[in-house]
Amino acid sequence: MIKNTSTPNLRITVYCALFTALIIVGGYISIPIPIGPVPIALADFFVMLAGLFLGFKYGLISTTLYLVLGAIGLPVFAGGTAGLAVLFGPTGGFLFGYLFMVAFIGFISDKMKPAIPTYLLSLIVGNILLYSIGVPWLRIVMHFNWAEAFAVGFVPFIAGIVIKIAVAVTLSHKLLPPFKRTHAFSSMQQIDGGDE
Amino acid sequence: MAGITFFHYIHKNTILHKMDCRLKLLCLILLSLSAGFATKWLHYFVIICIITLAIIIARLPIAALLKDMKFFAIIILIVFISNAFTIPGEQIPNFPISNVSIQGITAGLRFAGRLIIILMICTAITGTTSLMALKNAIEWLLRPIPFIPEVRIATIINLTFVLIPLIFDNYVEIISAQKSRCIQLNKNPIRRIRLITLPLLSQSLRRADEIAYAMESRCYSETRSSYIHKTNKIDWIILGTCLMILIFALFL
Repeated sequence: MIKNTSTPNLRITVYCALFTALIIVGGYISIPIPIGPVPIALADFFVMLAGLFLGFKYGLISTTLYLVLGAIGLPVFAGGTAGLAVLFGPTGGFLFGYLFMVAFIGFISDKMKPAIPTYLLSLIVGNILLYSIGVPWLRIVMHFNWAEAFAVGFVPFIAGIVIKIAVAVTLSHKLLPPFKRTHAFSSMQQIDGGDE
Repeated sequence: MAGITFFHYIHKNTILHKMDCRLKLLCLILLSLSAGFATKWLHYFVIICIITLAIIIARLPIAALLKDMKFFAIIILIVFISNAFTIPGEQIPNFPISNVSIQGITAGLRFAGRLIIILMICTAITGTTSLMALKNAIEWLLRPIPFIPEVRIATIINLTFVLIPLIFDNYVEIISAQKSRCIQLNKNPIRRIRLITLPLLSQSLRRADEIAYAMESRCYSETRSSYIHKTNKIDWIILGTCLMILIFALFL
């Protein structure tokens, strides 16, 4: 029990809460677009950063919490929506896609040394994962054909994705190495080792 | 978002404030489900009436809440307009603007209604529940689920609620600081987003560090004697009402 209440664990607890809060705030900084039901949101930007900063396990915890809070009815999804209806609605695939994206980015971030090519690769593949779940989901729920699904669920966001990835890479390049060097990260790995 | 009454606990001594938080959370889930399943206008009307009644009973400051609604009114308006213009259907006869369909307007109104209901439910719940009560209730509700450290999860959720307004305030501050330095003259979107997110993230990380230090120096620990929950008759009656609303929205 002493191990559970020791300092590093508390710090990671706070970081998890911080990234959940950032994802929620990112959802509010979103702009609904007039072409379809998927708004451009900063939420996925912070999901990417959660993966990069917190790694596989804790990134997944904080993204899952975001979905759970939305599912029980708190207005946390893009534009202040909530509930199971949204989670299983047209944009639900993107919300579940967040889990796969954060898992992949976190996994790479855990295994590889921080470097710009690593960030770039993991973010691009993470986004491909996100859209490869979100677009087919949109297609099935809205009864679109493939061309329509891509036109509504992917094409309007290409510019946004490129911008977000570029910003995430530069941000990580600046903030991630000092973040990982701090006491928090070295102890995080100790805890991970201790749990096994 | 700075200094608004939305999603803040307001201390009063009413039935809703004294209600057992576990049942209140269940009510939240039931009501948001019924908002999701509502199909007819009557459903929306009944749900909105009930929640308005709840807000009146809880004696929350309605005037202040309506004033703060401005932030969400913009979102709701945008969603409504985008729905009205994009969903195909019959044209309204003798209406000056083309492309607006009856189906689109109905869908937009429906979406707006759902949003308003969810916002009202959350205002009613967060206005009457202190963060500590919320944490205890979440902890209790998570206890039967295996393989989940319920205390830690409850702490994370609690901290999230503490951090959201702080991050919002921070965001508003950064935006106004940059507007006053003529950020809109800079046309490069990558640079502009970076100039917002970099200070936001680095300040939030520092804030998280401070919170961790503060908790640590106050001897935070996950092993505490657990809170004793008590329910009374009125709580169960309120829960029953919520259940009836869900049944009403589902089957009638």
